[in-house]
Amino acid sequence: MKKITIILSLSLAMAICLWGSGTWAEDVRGVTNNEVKLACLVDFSGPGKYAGPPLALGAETYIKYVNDQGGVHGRKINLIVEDNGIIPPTTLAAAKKVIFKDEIFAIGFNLGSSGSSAIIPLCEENKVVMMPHGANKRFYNPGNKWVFVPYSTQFNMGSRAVEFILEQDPKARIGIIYQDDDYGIDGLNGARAAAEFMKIKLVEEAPYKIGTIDMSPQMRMMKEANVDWILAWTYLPQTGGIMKEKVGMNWDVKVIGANTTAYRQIFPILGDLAEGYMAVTPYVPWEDTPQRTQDILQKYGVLEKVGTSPFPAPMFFGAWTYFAAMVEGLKQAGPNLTPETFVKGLEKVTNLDVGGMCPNVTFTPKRHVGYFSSLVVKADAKNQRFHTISPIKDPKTPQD
Amino acid sequence: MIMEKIIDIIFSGLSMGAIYALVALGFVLIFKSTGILNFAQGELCMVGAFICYYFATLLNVPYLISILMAIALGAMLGALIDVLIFRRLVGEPIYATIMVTIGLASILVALTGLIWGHDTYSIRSPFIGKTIVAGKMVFAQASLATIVVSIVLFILFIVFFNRSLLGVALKGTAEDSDTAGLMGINVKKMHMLAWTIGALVAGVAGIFLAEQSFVHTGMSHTGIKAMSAAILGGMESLGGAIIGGIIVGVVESFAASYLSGLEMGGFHFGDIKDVAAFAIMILVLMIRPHGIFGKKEVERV
Repeated sequence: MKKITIILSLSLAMAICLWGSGTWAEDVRGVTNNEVKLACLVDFSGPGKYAGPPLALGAETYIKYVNDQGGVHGRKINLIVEDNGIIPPTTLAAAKKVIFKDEIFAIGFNLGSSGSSAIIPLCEENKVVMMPHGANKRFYNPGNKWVFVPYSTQFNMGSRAVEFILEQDPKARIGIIYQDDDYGIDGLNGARAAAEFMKIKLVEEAPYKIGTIDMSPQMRMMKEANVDWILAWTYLPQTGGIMKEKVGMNWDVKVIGANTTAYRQIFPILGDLAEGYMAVTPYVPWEDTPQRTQDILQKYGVLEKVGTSPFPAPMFFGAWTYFAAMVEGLKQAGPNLTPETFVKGLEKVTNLDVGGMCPNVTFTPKRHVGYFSSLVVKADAKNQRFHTISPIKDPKTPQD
Repeated sequence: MIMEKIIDIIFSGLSMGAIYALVALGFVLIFKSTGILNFAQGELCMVGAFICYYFATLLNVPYLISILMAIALGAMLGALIDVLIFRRLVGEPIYATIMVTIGLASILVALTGLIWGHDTYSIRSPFIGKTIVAGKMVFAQASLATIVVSIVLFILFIVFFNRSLLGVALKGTAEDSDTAGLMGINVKKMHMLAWTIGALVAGVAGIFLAEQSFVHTGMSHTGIKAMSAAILGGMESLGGAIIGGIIVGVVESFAASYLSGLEMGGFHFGDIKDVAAFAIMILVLMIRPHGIFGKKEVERV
């Protein structure tokens, strides 16, 4: 009798423990009755480490905001922020760590195109939804069941840039300086597609290797081709090099770049030379942040930090947007959360307003990219800020 | 039009070449005096740029004073490196000293990143964004300043080494430190002086490089190209270092201008610019193994 009592007591204790951890309810990795684990993979130690802290802060702030509202279907979100070092080998190691050791349910944000490509097979094998940042067209075309992109890709923005130029000057002679990697080539392909659609030709294309800062050869090529607009699918240092060369050549050419340069850091780097620089981006300038979003930031004590130059506010809102899309997917999936119901839930996300900072997000079973649209901003060096000069809109060039 | 383009390419090459030449000068000076091949020369160049950025941009100190502070602190760093590390390594096997300089390079990059961060910064210089227009030609003031100041520095160095007592003593130590010691020259002091001047010229090169582009930890890679310029000129010759630097700068500039944009099967010929310095070095060394101005050492038996 005593033996039976001990066995029953132990069984009851085990049952209580299992109930507490939630595995009693269902065996879904990263999901219990009161918690869902999501991962945010950003770079703290690699070439993109400047982006890590603002991205992590954006993700953490949004998740705090959601948890304070009670989470999703009674589950609080446990956010695991991990360093992915941005390059493929370290990203793969980080993804393995969060999937197998931390046992996350989904990767709400992964910084880096090539690193994202590297972890797609792992995500497919383990049924992990992943949202790549620094996304390319190939992430939504032909598309992948487990990959969702709540962001404009470089292809979309390259098209938008060409169309914007032609709106300003239908006879524009356009040249492009691009980084010879996934990021730059996607922008180049978008620009080429728009040029073909608008029945013009890019008059010059000048690549550079990642890490190059001396832009004088590329600028000489542009000058020799007699372009009057330069598309700069570059990062901040290279954009700085282009703007310096432009002034050094005493050349009044117009320069328009990608979202990666629509940051306030451009002002300390370039000073007055930044004046008139334009960029295509999905995010409105910080100064135009809607009051309702500023109120949330105020509540969580980050308003001053995000609003102070040169904090890269678009990065903060990048991670914010990704997790907003992910949380909406969790809501749409319902309380019975599995990888399959989550994918279906994300595919139901329609016209999601993510705080008025960027275009609304819509996913469908056939389209896992949140939007194609973007806006154009122009640098005001004197006031060290960007102004919107062309509102959020889709490119006319076919994007699928 | 073609003539203008060629002048533009040569001008651009000369301004980069002057920077390579300054760094190469430091290489040769340290190597000749101490027998140490300093792989941290590019990092000394980077530190000079960061110190100038710190004073000129962050503290808003007048530019000329910022330059002088950067040069003085850079030179002191060179002396400190000699006293703390390399004084103990004179005469040690070359692989040991090379590894120490490589380690030193990594430490300097890490410390610089720790103090100022790994981002890209801009130096506040009165030359940035200013040009001089001569007919149809446009010259950037920053590049012009680099060329002019470098020429003045080269002349000063030549006068110093040939006319001043200290310069002759340093040259004597570089030629034969044992004999120099027997002649009453304080060899340790001369080694320290070589490190001081080596770091000083590297610092000046760093400031010029920052003016033409930006301040960032990656700028230390210039050191490797400057080393190829020093080897090209002949590691034993100060004049060779200057000529080697200029050759590398001008060839790079021509390669960048005439090869950029050419593509074959996904390979961009413009990338050759980055290896041009090494390609010339290999070609010259195949014909003259001791470099353009280097002399074959003849040992009497």
